Formats: sequence, C-alpha cells, structure tokens
Amino acid sequence: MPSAFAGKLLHVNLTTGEIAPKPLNEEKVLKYLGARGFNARLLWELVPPGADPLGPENVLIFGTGTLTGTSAPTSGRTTVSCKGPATGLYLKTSVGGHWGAELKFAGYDYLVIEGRAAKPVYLLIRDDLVEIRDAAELWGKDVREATRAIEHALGDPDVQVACIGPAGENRVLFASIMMNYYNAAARGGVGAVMGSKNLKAVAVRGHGKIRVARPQEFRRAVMEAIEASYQDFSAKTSYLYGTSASVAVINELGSFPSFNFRSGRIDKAEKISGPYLVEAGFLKRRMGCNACIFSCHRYCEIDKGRFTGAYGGGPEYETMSALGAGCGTVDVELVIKANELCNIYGMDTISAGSVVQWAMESFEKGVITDKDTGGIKLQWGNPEAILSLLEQIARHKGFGARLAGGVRRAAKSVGKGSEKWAVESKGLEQSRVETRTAFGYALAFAVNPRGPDHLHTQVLAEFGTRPGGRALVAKITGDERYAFPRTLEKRADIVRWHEDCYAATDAVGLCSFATTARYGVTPELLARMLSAATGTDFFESESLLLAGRRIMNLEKAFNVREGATRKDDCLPDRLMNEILPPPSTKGDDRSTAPPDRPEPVKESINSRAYLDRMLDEYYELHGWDKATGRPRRKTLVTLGLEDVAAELERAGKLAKE
Amino acid sequence: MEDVNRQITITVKLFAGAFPERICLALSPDARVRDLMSKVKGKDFKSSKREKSPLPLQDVAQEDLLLILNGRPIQNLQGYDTPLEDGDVLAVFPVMAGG
Repeated sequence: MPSAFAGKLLHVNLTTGEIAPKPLNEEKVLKYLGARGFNARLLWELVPPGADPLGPENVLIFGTGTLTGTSAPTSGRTTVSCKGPATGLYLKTSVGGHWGAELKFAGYDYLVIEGRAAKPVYLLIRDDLVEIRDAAELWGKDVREATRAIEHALGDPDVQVACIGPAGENRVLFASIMMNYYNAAARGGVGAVMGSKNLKAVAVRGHGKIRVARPQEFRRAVMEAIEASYQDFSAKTSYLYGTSASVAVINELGSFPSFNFRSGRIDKAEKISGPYLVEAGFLKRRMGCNACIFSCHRYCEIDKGRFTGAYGGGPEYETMSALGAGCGTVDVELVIKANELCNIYGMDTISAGSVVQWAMESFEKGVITDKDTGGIKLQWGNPEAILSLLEQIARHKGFGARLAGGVRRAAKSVGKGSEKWAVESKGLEQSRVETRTAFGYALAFAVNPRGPDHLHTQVLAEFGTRPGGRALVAKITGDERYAFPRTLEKRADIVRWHEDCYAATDAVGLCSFATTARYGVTPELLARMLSAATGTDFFESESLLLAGRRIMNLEKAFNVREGATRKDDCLPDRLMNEILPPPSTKGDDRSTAPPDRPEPVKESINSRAYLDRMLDEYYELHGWDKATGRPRRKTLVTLGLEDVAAELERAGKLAKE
Repeated sequence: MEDVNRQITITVKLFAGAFPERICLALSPDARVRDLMSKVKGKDFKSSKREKSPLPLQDVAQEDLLLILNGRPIQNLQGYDTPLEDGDVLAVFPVMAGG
C-alpha cells in the first residue's frame, strides 16, 4: 500500500566507498514522525559520544519530511542533522526548496553520509543509479559556480544540487549547505561537516512518484489546511514582503537587534525592510519552496551603482539585522551584496554578521586594532570592512581566519573582556530576536539543544497581537491574558507546547510558517494529513504532540550524553547582564496598563534570576531534574525511550529519581 | 479652574508602504485609541500616495492592523480602550509575521 514514503534509506560510506540502499522501517520512522525526528534517532545510534564533529565518526543525515513530495501545503522541508561543530552538541537544521522532494522522487527518504573521502568527491543520485564521483574540478568553486558546473556536466538543468562553497571546504564553523543556490541549511556549521568529509555536493534527480494511502481523505485535509492557512492576514504580507516585512514593526517595538545587540533600534530601519525592497525596485520576483502556498522567498538584484549585478534570494529578516542593523548600517545595497557573498561562499548570514559586529565592537573598544586586522578599519557600517571580512572568513585568510570559528572562539582568542559582547550561547551565535523583551523566546532560546535560535521553538503567540495566537495561549494556559511577552508567568507551558508542535512540524516536513507562526495548520490537521498519507490511524493531535515531545527528549538526551547540564541552558552574557532601554520614554505602567495583566518583569534583561525561575518550571514540566537538567528514567520510559534511558544510566547521566 | 477645552496631541505614523507618513492629531484629553483610529480612518487613510501601496490601509480590516503605542502593541495594553496622553506616538502597520 502506498504510504507517502519513498521506501528506502540510502547509506553512503565515503571511507569505504560503499553505497547501500536499505528498505525503510516505516514503523520506526513514524515513532519519530520523520525528518528531524528520525534523524535524531539515527544520530543517537550512529554517532558515538565524544566524537569529533569534524572527524569521520560524525555522520551527516539528510532526512525528508514524511509529507514531503505530497501536496500538503509547505511540505517542502528537509532536515540536515549531525553533531554540531560550533557547539559540540546536537545539531539539526531545516531547509526549504525542492531538493528533499527530488530525493523522494529518486526513491529515498533518507541519505546518511558516513566516513570521509580520501579526496574531494560529489555524490550523484539518479533514481537507482548512485555514484561517488570525483570533484577535483569542483573543489574551490563557489556555490554558484559549482552548482552550474554540475548542471552542465549532467546536461540537466533540473538536477537538484546541495553543495558547499569555500567556507565549507575551509571548515568555517558556520558554513552552510546551499540547495540550488538559494535555500540554505545554514545554522551551526553543517557545511563544515560536509567539507570535513571531502564531500562537495549531492546532486539528485528522480523520476518516481509519491503516493498517499488514502487519497480522498488526504485531499480533504490538505484543502482544509490551505484554507485555514490563508485565514491569517500575514499570509498576504508574507507573500508581498517576505520575512523582512517585519523589520520596521520590530524596530518600532524597540526590539530590532542593532549594533551587536547594544540597541533595539536603528534610525531609518525602513531602508532595510521588505516593503523598501519592493518600492526601490530591488525585488525581481517571488518564489516558493516545494508545495508552498505562501511563497515568502524573494529574489533581489541591484541594477545600478557600486554593486551592480549583485543578486540572490532574500535578504531575509534575520539577514537584514545580522548584516545590516547589527553591523550598524541600513545600507540595503550593502546588505544585498553581503548576503550574496554569504550565499556563494556558503556561510550562515546570522553567524557571519554576528562575528563581524563583534569585531566592530571590539575595534571600537580598542580590544583589536588595525594591526590585528591587517589594516581593515572596522568602524560600524563600513562597507569595505564588512565585505572584505566576509571574504577573508570564507577563505580562512588574514584576520578572517580568527573569526571563522565563530564568536565564542574568536572572543576566547582575543580575550580582554570581549566575551562580554560575544552574543552566543552553547557556542552558537544568537539569531536576531531580542529575547530581553520576550520571555517565552528567552526560555526557548536558552533550552534549545542547538543553541539560542528561533528555528526550534517559535512562540510568536506570546505577543498576543493575533487572534489565533491569543486563542492558542488560552488553550495552553487556560487564560488569554498570558499572551503577554514581558512576564515570566506560564512561559514554561507556552514554550513546551510550541516545542512539541515545532518538532512535529519539522518532522512531517512542513514549514513553521504554516503552524506556529500562522496557526492555520493545527496539530489536529497535521495529524489528519499524516494519518491519511501514511495509512496509519493512531495519529490524532495528542499523539502527534507527544511524538514531538519524544523528539525533543531524544535531542536533549543526545546533549546530556555529550555532557551538557543545566549550566549550558543559558543566554549570551550581554543579554543576561545588560538592560535593554525601553522603546519609549513614555512608560506603560501608567493608566495604559491593563489592571489584570500577568506580573510584568521589572527590567528588559534576561537575568540569571529570571532565567532560573523559568528553567525550574520548565524542567519540572518536562520531568527533568532541576539541579542538573537531566531527564528522569520515568520521563523517557513514558515516551517510549527505554533504551535511551538505559544508555544514559550506564553512562551515569540519568537524573536521580 | 481646569481648562476643559484643553486638547492632547498625538503623532500617528502610518506604514502603508516602506516609510511612515506622520500626521499629528488633536484630541480631547479623555480620548482612547478607538477615538483616534476613527478619526484617522475617516480622513487619513485615503491620501493618493497611500492608495498606491500594494496594501492600502483602508482595505485592511481592523483586526488585521497592528497598532503600536509608544513601542507597545495595544494588545499588551488595553486594546482599543487604551487611554491616550499628550505626546503619545501610535504606529499603524498591516499585520506582519515571520522572521
């Protein structure tokens, strides 16, 4: 019977050259829903504790969503997982585009890369034909050149190419894997892991079809999901302006990370916003990932002036803050150019921007000088400085080589107190969310197994600005008053629900814009689509969310096995120790504050005390030990993770009952 | 004796496109966001420039407008019942989400 699965898992060992397609154990996959979930299971089984993330023991897993390749709205997502080189902990990164669907059309749901090739290679998958090919001529090429070269060599413009650029080859710890030029599996250094395996690219072409088990029922659920997704007005703004639609809004809220998180505002932020890209003529077209109904992805090009010809996808909201405001500039052409460099060198724009702005602040404070930088004047917003540093980082040359390990390592090597403005935790640079004004986000970022970042748990509902978000908060906490971001109350409950839902979303292969950002695709709808597609009947919203929690606990267990404890669940020094100024001198504690709102925090800071209170409640809710953050046996057993509990116990890393 | 005719001045920033258009409005001291918005909608949503936007504000339903008063979303205050004070700044956006 068809089941939405392609039916095979492809193991490729680059050390031995062995290529082994294996039948997929669908029941085991569905226990973890798929993609991110099953990847986490494979990672747990295949990567021994203590493995060097850049050594041959690490594996690189490409896992498609269980609904990827079907017509389920926004189901084009693929999860790339490995042990992360930036953090030494669990890493998953989700990517859109069409690559994942193509892998399924070729007949494989999962691709597991093991070992290390003796010399540069690329992998070619054409349905049943899988080859490890020489990549000597591709090595050294940027993402655009390499992708084009593969398309030409195969004479097939429709081949889907996932590849690394110079940054991945040079093992920059925030190197990305780029899928067909525009879609990035970016965070945490997956590209460095691919580079460490001497694997330049994975090119895929498939001619098969994905069929679902109960087509009529599936189609009904899909139509409902599409209709529900269009209910939220932001579906429209998202299509018109993409993620950078919200730049001016967030700046108005005083929460737009600027000047390396020293400020929540920058003058004329509108000049790096989605609407400006449209009005100034930079936006050329809009694009969607496989089966997307929002098409938030845009394509921009500069037609005249100093950066004529620069082009690329986005720039997204995150990039506008990381390479723009964070570096002290609202020069949108510069951001488009810097974004292009990151995308062709294969680097995460968030982390790349973060190291540059950390260096700028260090330069301003005299901690590093132009002697260190080889003459580059790292003043805020200096275009030459930003662009030349990005190039140096990707090539691992000059001062850039000192930044290529990310901001934690850079600050450690420079010292002189520069750790205080290294905006990272667990070794990952924080994404561009001002967690000092949104405490659900603060908690979610602190406990995120991959580091402080929004793409694990989006708690937009806590802002209370949308009816769907308020209804959700009411459902979770029993009272919509808790849809208020500047309180510690009920954050643990709100975060855990979103963790479960986000994990399930990733695992079935949908985009979080359909679920936790827009509320249209509820867990109930997700469960119905999954049941109809796979022909299983055990999915309803509760079991789906529980499976999400199983994924989250397995990810947590991976980190615990690596030695992580409660002390790792924290936020960047600056955010824990420096107060963010309020958005206006006019306080909201006058008559404008509602009398019955939850107790607000006194100051915009993620202090130890605030964080500790939320962490206590969060661990308690999860059934994890408060002192160590480790899971209890009972918690893991209840989730069907008996063997995980047993292994942690053998390692002496299970919480005491 | 208190001056009953005293008025308060509120700055409104309308984000129909990339850049805000600022207007200043005088209101009675007991005015709330609701009163301000009915005044704004009546006369100011329809300037020719704003109508050219891909998202003309007059076409956006009330619940799909995001109103930010002095840097706080009004839903975190008292919604449309939020009282206003002299010198307040209200920013008006169509709803955006995602990042």
